[in-house]
Amino acid sequence: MMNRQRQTIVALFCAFMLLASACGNSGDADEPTRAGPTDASGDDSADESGGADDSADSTDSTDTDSTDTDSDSTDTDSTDAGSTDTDTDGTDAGDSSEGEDQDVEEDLWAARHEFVAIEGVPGVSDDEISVAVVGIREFNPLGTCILDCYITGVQAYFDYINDGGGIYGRDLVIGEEHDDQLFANQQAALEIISDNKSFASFQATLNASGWGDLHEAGIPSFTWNIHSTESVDRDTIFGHFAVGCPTCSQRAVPWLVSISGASKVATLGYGLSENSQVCANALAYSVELYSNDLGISVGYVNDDLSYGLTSGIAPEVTQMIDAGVDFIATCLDLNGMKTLAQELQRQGARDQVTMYHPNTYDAGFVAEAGNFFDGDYVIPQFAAFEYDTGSELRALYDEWVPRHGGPVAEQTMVGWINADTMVTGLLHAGPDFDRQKLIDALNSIVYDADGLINPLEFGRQHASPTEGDPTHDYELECISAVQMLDGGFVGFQEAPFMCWDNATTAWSEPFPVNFADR
Amino acid sequence: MILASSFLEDLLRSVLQGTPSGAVFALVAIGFVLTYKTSGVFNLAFGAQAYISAAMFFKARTQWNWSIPLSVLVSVFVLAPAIGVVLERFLFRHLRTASAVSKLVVTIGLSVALPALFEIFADYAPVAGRAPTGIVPEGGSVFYDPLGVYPFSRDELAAMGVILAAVIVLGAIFRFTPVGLQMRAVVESPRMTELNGIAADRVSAFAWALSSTFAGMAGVLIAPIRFNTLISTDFFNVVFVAIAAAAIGRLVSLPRALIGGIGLGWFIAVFNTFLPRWADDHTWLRPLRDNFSNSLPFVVLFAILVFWPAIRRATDVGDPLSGVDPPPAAPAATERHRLLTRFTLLFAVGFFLFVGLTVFFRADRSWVFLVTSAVVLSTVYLSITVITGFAGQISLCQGAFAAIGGFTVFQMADRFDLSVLLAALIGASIAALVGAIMSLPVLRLGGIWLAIATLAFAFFFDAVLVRMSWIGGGDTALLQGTRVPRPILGPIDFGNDKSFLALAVVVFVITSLAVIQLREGTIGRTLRAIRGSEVAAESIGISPAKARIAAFATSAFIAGLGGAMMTMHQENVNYQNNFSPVGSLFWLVLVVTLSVRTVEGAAQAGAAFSMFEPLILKGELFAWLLRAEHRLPGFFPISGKWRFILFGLGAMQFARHPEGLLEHGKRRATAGLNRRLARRDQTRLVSRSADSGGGAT
Repeated sequence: MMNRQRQTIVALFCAFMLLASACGNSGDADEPTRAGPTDASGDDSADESGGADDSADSTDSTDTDSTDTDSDSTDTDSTDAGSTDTDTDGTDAGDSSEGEDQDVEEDLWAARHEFVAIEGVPGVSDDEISVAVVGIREFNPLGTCILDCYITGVQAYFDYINDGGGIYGRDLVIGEEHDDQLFANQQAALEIISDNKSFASFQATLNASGWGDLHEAGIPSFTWNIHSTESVDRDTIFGHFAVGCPTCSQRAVPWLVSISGASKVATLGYGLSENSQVCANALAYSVELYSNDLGISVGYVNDDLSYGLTSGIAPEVTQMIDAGVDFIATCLDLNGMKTLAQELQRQGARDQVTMYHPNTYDAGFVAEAGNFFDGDYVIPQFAAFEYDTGSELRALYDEWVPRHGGPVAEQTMVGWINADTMVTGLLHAGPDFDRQKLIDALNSIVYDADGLINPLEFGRQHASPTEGDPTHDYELECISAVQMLDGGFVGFQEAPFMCWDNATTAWSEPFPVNFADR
Repeated sequence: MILASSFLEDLLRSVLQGTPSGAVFALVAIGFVLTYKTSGVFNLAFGAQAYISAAMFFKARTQWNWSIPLSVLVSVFVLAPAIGVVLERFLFRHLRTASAVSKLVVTIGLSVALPALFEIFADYAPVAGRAPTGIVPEGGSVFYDPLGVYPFSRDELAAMGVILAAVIVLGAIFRFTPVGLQMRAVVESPRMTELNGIAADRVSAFAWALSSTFAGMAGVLIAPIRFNTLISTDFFNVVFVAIAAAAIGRLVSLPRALIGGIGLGWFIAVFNTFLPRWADDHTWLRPLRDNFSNSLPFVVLFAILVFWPAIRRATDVGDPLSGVDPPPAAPAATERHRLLTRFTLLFAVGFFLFVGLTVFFRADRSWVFLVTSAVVLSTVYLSITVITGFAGQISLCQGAFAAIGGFTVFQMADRFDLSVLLAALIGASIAALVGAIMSLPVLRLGGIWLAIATLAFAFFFDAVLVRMSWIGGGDTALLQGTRVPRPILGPIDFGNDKSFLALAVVVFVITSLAVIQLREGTIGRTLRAIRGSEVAAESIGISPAKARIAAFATSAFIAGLGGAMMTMHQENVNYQNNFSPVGSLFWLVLVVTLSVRTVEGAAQAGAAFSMFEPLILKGELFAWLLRAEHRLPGFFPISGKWRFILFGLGAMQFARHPEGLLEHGKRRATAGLNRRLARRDQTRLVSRSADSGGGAT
């Protein structure tokens, strides 16, 4: 009995081993060695798996250089050149190329009512362009407003466009809405792909497991781009900021340290999150890099805090105080920041320490905290609401978002910018647009949300930058930092953005830039 | 001397700094002990009960502007005991003599169902930064520093006071009052207690009201000390950390639980104070500093379970009268009529043919994904069938074994460009090895302690091992994710979703056949013998240790294989989505609730996990039945919270039918049909004999 059982199991196992040993991996046929997650390999697999073939073409064209694009975006080369000249000093607005750019934009805008009958483009009928929105509402571990606020931003922008007659004779509508409930993003993505009734997807999620599927299907996605890992090398994903380099140095936090008058810096991250851990080390590296220039130094680094600070943070705060730390830069969530501030206060050091918060641009949260965070810094991912950019898009935001009862909040602005990105892409794609033309168009222009964000060249910024190599990085490193005061935020910068030239990592003082003035 | 003085001062400070956290852990640990002592249940739903009272208190204070005493009265002394009484009446009364796994399953179900129920019915939603307030005015902003070393807030002092009072009062109740003795007696044997004229039901209800009140009090006290936003998952996390403290109390000693809780807080604070300094001077300590401070509670817990002899000697509370209980019924499949067996087989073949053809020829990519997920999950769940169904061991780290399979595929493909199918087998083998090694130190643990040890391993894997670059991928994973290609087998490219579904089905069928072979063969019989009576098995020469190691290794192999398949299916490891420790708790509950001893149980659990939400909650099934999506009633899609509530209800039903809901259904159907067939046979016999008798006449 036992022998027979053993024989059966061994036979099954051997059969499976034999089969397995004779096999390879998907995509190997075309690749001598396993390629990294480059566009080319991704598209090959899409081809083989019967996915959307369209994306392959776009990838080839967009990953090389924006001037190589063969689509109907002849105007875009001049846009690039113009913006390049402008961005390096950031102040010479109004030269002739910009004037041309503006003319082009105006022409495009004027042509938005041109209707062309389109067949076979998913989500597009003669009356409307329908999109899907995915985000987290239920089971949000942060308790912040994400999906609802994001939808408010997208819908407000769509209403503004529709109020002016829509685009190419069609209204913009949110046809699908998915709450991915933290872990169902891939399922939501596949539903969008299967239903194939949405022209594009909008994503404000905490877990971007479905972005790869959307990319392979050639569906343009407009995202709250906090997931560099999932958006890197995927040229169909358009965030409101570019794919970042988590290990690279940055000048923003060292600058904040120096202007706050602090000199000894601590950096903190959660051990459970690779992102948070690497971020804490990158901040420490940045401070060290500019320590001689700014007279600052690293006094304490801890990249292994328990998530949620379930065991408190008292010993760590004592060590920071003992080390003479007067500035704490963290990669923690907003609840963790409050726990840290509480412990600093308990140990009598709150007034002596300034903090940099990466995720606390939340008016409700800060209002609840009263003057607890006074003097601390936060850097939103767009021109902070506290600065007057003069941007027309911002004025429209202030007009249309309140009509939806929506808060003037980070997620609402991200939704608004994402929606504007899509419309801008459509304008460049032309009235006989489709998904691929939209992707190609966006990958060949410079987009700055009318000055609300650091200009993005999607064509070269889908790849992850590396230290000291500006090939895939922003031309300028810019921040729009604000300080917290009396339960609110106040601007302190000379201009909406303070920037550094990314051609070098050497220290220089930042210069003021208002991208909306260009 | 100065050095010594500095050291002592730092030590004192770190001890004081660890006290607030220790108080939180002590509150939860005392709650665990109280519930275990008074009901015999290791109550993983403690955090959920605490959360409900905390949220109720928060709502009463901030939204309704009630006074503190009234808010405490309603949330702690009315709502909390009411929940306890309801739970006892409808659930735990039926579980008094049930096994540890049965009780554990129900509490896991409750841990997610209760918060979801409360949030729906109380219309409560957490808001970031809405900080809970305490039971004393200005509890979070007024501090006292009697030693001039480290100040405590009013809230913390209140919590410490309540803890001390609770230990004294509860200790006195257990030691000096009749009801204390009765509660312990009811836990041990309700039937013997009733024979002595004590109303076991009433005592049990009181016990649950008492422990639930304590949970409520703990929630109201913990929230302002520890959380800045009131979210149920935070309570869940604290509960898991505090299990180590409860283990120090061996789940029966309130003073030891108090010492365990406070001691754990102190240990973590002292560790985090001194280790960084020592690591600066001693490089060999740096890996410890860099990797372990995040997972200290789980390391402590695992060490306690493995090295403390008292834990190894501890046995589950058992009813002395359980020997008079009838033996568990045989599986329905062994008793049913041949006709029914044939009909079932026929139906199964027809059903799977219909579903298979529909999926292969009609389903879109989304549904193919869901069905494939169901098949792959079913493969993973077969590992639970082996370890829990056959061997009777509770393993809460199946997710970690599955993750080993997934990460191996990622690493092998990423580093060596190895065939992912081959990597899957290597991953499964590594998982089997890890399973066997992990089973060695916990061999002597039984029942609930084994479950806790495996849970500690799962959290250790989650907090420490996944972060190692040779497992989780390190910078590669950070920059590019843990992307994995699909396999190619000769001319077949499994990059196509439907081809991959076929592969998943083949792997599931092969694994199922192996599991059935295992069950019917010597190993299965050995495991059944040990499950029946370890002592008896040993007396006939069976080695329980070897059998347990074999069961863990086999189960881990299957989990690893399933995890590898899942990774290939999603083309990404997606560790947090698929393999987190909390997720694998639900796996166990689902499989055990449906039917843990059969392959069908694993398959149906896989289908339920993957398909329930889209089919039922999103209304796809109803839309299909109504033949139009627009006819779907307005309440679709139903909130995802109902998934947890229904999951909890399923686990609660398990309290009544420990053989599993499917097995229960099968038994009823089998019994009904057998009766009908017997009646029919009898009628025929009677009519035949009447016919033959008539003829003769």
